Amino acid sequence: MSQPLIAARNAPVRQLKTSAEARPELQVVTPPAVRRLRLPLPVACVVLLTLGLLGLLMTNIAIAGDAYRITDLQVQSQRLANQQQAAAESLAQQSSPEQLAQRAAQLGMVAAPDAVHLTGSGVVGEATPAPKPSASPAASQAQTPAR
Amino acid sequence: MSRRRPRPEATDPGRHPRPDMRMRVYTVGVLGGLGILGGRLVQLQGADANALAGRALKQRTSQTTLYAKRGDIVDDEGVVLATSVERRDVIADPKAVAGFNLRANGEPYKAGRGTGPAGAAALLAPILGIDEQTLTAKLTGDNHYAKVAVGITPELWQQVSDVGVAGITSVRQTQRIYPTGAASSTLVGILGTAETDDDGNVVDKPLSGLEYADQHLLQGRNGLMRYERSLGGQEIPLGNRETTEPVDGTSLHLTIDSDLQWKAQTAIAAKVVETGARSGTVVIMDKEQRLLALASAPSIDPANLTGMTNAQLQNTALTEAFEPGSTAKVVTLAAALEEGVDTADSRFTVPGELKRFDKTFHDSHPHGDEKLTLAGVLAQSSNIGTILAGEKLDPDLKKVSQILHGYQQKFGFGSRTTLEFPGETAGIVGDPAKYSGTQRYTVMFGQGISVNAVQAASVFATIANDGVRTEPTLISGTSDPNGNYRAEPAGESTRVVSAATAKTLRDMMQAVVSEEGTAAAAAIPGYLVAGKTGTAERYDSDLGRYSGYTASFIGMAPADDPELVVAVILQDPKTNYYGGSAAGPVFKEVMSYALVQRGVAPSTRPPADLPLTWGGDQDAEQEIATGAVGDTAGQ
Repeated sequence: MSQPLIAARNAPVRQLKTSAEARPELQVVTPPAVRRLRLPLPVACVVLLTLGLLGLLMTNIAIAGDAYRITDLQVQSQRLANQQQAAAESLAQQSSPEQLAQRAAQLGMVAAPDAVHLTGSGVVGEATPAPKPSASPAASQAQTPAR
Repeated sequence: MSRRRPRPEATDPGRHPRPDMRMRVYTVGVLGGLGILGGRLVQLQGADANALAGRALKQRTSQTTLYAKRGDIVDDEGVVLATSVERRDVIADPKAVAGFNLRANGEPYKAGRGTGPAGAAALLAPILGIDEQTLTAKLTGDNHYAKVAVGITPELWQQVSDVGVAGITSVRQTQRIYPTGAASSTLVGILGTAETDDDGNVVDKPLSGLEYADQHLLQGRNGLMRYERSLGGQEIPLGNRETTEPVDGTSLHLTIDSDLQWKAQTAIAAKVVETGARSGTVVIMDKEQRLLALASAPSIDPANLTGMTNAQLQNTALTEAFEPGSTAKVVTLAAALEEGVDTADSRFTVPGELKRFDKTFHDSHPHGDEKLTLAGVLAQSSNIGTILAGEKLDPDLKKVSQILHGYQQKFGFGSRTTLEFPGETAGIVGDPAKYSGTQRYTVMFGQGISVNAVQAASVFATIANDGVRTEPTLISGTSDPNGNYRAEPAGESTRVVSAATAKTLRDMMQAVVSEEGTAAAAAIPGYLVAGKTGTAERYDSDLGRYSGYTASFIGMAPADDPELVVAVILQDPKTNYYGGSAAGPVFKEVMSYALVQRGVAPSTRPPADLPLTWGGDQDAEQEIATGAVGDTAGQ
């Protein structure tokens, strides 16, 4: 046995100055209830990661799907806009005074002669019969029943 | 005994005598490889990063111009006079079309469909309405560009696109359409063929009319969209995206009534042809001088601009200055009445000829001394009578010129209207201090000064409006792209003559349209009409001298409570140059249509019937009654 160890053994035990009697005895305290995971930690991590990734994937799929839907709807909207434009254009053309006059003439209509007014002081103006349509309109012929 | 499988080193210990040496070789090799990769990485990231990133971005970035829609031009009822529609030009890449529906081994992808240019043409020709042979020829070639069709509607392009021929693309165009055609082309204007500016954007080039005048309002501003896209054209979600929204143009709402405009234009165009006139103009305004029609003939069909001449683009109502002739006598007589030197029954003894300065003035027809009232002078359109009435304004002739000039200016002569119409003329009134001796007399009956048709009509509208002149207006309001309508402020009003003077003039002008006046052809049954004919010598700027005539009739109805003013002007008519008989019927046609169309009640009061002669002047009465009167403002 080496000298220092012997010296240590022989050294007097140091007495604590504080009263040993006042010191409470150490007791084993029960730790607060720890909820134990059923799954071990690594498995939980993997599951969480997988779920996260899956969520991300789903979100991305949804966004991408929306992008396709947006494109489709834009195409559809463009088609409808085109139709609307075509309809508006045709309406503008057909409602122009020139076209209306032409169509009216085709239907055998004529411009009205001078107006006759019925006023408080009697009839003003001279009633004149409407002129005959210049050309026999195709429309009225079409309406006559064919035998 | 089982021999342990020897380790390779053990079998050939001589090759790698030292294992640590081998380790070092590996390390150096790996480090070298990593170094090369790292170096390349530094090179890419450090040196070329921007260029490469830019190239990559460009590859997946698509840039689209978001076109602004040009503003519409509509009339007071919202009838479209000008609008923009989208059109497509179909462009083919013949090299790409060569492989249409064709596998590498020469088999078609889809059975039942032709292959190559012929196959594509067979599918596209019926849609485009082109002959299949012609289309095949267009689609065959070794180049990358062939124009297949121009200006097809977007609906049609959709059908073409649905066929799915690779190599067939389209270029967007806008086309301006004018549903009212030639009737309002000179007023609304023409948008020329689109041009490409420095940035490659398509810009419109207006040529005339309101399209030109209000280009800054109508034009709008194109937008831009940049986005990253996949191979199929879908936008990459969460990718870079940059959008500048386009701003559509502002729409113009005019005071014009498209029905009246059409009626006026067809009537004057027919008259121009009938009389062989150089041009014709009809102005319709209400008494607040809102312009209801500004028709001009000749005009051009905006849908077919081939053979267009400059004259066909001009709206003569504003761009043409002419000597008004007898219609300007109204201004002289208004001055005489307003200054209190004359009344409607002031008596004049009108000689057959009158020598003033160095010139002898005549009336349009020879006559002896006539005893006419002021109303008679106007009804008969006597130049000499007008001079006599005008001279009474002041003993000093120069002062007379000053006074008349003042009234002419107040009636709006000599200055542009606030319409800001391109090419508008202010007319020429000149400086009265510099008038020649003869001119001091001729301006009294409307020669030696010039006006445009709106100015001429404005005089009559002022008289219709009890002597208050409102600045003419053509644009009633604007609506921004969001549809917010903003009314334009009404024109400024100034009093020119008193209400009493205006009433007297209206009564006097009724006689013009009576059987005794110069324009019985302008009478409208049921309505009292007040108006004035004009048959002026026409100054031909090409010839530099007077040649031909300007025939005009300007009038208002109903004369007892005026609503509408119509001015009809024919420049240089060949077959009939009298204002009453050439322009009068057009006035009647247009005015009677306008009165009924706008629901104006017929006149209920009896005609004014002012005395036209005095002292029982049998000759003059006889002459007036037989209609042997003219209105030629001869010099």
